[in-house]
Amino acid sequence: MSTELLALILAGGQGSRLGKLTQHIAKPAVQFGGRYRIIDFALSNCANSGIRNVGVITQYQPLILNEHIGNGSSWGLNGVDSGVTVLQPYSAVEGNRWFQGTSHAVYQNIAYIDSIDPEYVLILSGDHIYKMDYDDMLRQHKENNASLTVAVIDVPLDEASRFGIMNTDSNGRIVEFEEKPEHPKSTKASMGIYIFTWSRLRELLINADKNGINMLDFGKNVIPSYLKADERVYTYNFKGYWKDVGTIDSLWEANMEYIGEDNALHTRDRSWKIYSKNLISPPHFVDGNAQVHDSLVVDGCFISGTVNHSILSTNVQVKEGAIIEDSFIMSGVVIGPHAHIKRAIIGEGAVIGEGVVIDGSEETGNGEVQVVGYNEVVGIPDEA
Amino acid sequence: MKLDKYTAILGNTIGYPEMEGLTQKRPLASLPFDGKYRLIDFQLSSLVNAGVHSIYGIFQRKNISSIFDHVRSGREWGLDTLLSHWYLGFYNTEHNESTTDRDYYEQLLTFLKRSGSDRTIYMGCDILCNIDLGQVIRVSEANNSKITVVYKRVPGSMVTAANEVLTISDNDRVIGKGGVTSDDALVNMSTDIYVLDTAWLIERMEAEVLKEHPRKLRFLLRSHLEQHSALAFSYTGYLANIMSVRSYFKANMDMLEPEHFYSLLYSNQKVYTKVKNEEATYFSPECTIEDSQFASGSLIKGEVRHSIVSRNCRIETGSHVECTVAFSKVTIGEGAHVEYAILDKNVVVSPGVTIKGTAQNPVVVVKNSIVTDDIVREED
Repeated sequence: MSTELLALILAGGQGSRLGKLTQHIAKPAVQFGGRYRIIDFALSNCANSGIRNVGVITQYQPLILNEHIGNGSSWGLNGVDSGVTVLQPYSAVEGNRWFQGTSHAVYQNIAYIDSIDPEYVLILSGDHIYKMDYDDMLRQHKENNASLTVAVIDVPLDEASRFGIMNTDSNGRIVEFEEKPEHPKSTKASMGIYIFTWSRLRELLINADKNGINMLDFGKNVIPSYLKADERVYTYNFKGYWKDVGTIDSLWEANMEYIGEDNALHTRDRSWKIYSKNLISPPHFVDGNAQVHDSLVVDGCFISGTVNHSILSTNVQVKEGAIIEDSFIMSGVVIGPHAHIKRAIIGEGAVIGEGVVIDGSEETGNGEVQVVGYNEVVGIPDEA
Repeated sequence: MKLDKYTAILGNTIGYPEMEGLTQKRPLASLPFDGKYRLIDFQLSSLVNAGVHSIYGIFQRKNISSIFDHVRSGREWGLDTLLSHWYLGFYNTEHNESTTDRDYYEQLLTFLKRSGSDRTIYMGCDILCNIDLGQVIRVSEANNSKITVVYKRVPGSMVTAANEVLTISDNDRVIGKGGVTSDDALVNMSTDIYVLDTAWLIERMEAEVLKEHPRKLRFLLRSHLEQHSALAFSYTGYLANIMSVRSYFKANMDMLEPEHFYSLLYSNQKVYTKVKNEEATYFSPECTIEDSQFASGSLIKGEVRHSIVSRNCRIETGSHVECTVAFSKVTIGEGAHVEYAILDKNVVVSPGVTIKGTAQNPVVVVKNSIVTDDIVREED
């Protein structure tokens, strides 16, 4: 049986807007919600949608991402008829194959896609937080006999100019695409999720390369060219929580929105679980001095301080007298005694010294979400 | 290194009738511990941490589903690789019997002979510890010992009728069996962990299988300790007997002492367990927590003191939980009061209900029960 739908996750972006957080790690590998890395949402959606083959296109700082994905067994994608393949840029006879854009990255991996021989390809970003049934999107793609289906989400009109906006006819057929329009005509924003009928896309990419036509980017080149060629391009309306966590503020916000007995993603709903590679750790320990309220805590943590409206990822230590508020603490972080962390993101493995104050709040800080980078040490004098 | 230089046999057909409430539907080996482990995790982790990838697990026939559910292919312990050998044998035996049938030995003999191993480790699951077996193996090899036994010096009060006390000479040899004279005096309690010369073990087993009622492996090995002046290895880490409800409860409570918790679970030997994909545990604005441990996936809204809460539990508003071990998927209703109890999987304590045991005699609530009436146990 040949593969009907192959998913390609674009995980190669540098994510420079995440500053320090992506200095040593690709954006999709940045942690989220205590137990996850951002790419887990796309991978889990694939697994839950019954997709058996996933290619993850990487490029920038891929070490942790590769280690995280492994053979795909964390998402059940290591079966006899399934697999996750990490696709790296490589050099070839005709020169370097560094990816120059989203569709260019797909074109460079044409040999891999041909080896799977899918009827359709699903293009995903590795940096969105959402739950989505791609199988339903595929069903609609087939019903419309579409050549390309673009997933869209309704955004408030005043924010629409930040997105790629799809203007459609009454049947959901896209008649116009405007990238970040000043005066948006609709509120249907592209989510960067596409289903292409592979034979058509393949032909387009090969011809463009042969004729020296710029076809490097899906948004800038491929979609406009599809529209120009009067291809059947449709929208798929997605309803639900969706967040692009490409900036410090949006990453912090998405984490804060995640805290609660339930959240907009309903991640406690066991019928559509989000899977991840587990870091094996003992249960977390809340000792006699600790106060933990309105917070999410995972395995391996040891809490002696106060934690309010925050997320503690695996193996975080909060020493006595420390206070953490409105913050997202990534795995392996040590918060020293009497340190005060407010409205901040603390990167994996960082160490915060005794009494250090990191304050990103409006009231007492500078109002900007504070970030401490990976393995950064703050407030501990060098031993020398 | 030749991969099959070492083999291991996990003896899990031993159990204790007094623990029936917890082990009716599962072997001792898959009894949950400290919120996210099962007792067998400690054995399997010790073995794979010592590089042993050829393991034969002996279980009772009635426990097949519980074992398969937890251990499955052995993936979490790296036992599903091409060069690993991971066998499960199920036998028609009761856990309070000391003898077994011939089939038990015939299958073990086939496994051992085929393995071509030099040394075989035997261990059971009623002793909880995190031992560096590599060290025991090295000592046994250096001394060219046929049989090496691991013991720990413990106060007499810890020894039960099921344990063996050893008399050990100055040069670390077992020279006799002893007893307990007082609660405080330290004695050498055997852990029933053995490192054996495989060829020697095969000979002993071949002799045993000829008997009409062959003894289970543990009892066969015990009988050879003195006669062969077994080498004795002293284990100094955390250890607990899991031989009664009380000792099991105490071992869990021990984990709330950071000293014990770190000794067992944060030694340089990791303890692996079955992977579950759970959300983080959520602590609500109104909860009160003191000295407690939590696994993932729970919702905590009540008051929890000195307790262990496993995966996917719900502790509702206004409830009070103290000195309690809650297994996974336990629900404690609004205003319920639970003290000194072990709540097995899926137990529901209805709103307002009181469950109260004592430290010596904790209340065990069996799997899947819904408690609607108070259970109060008085001090003896």
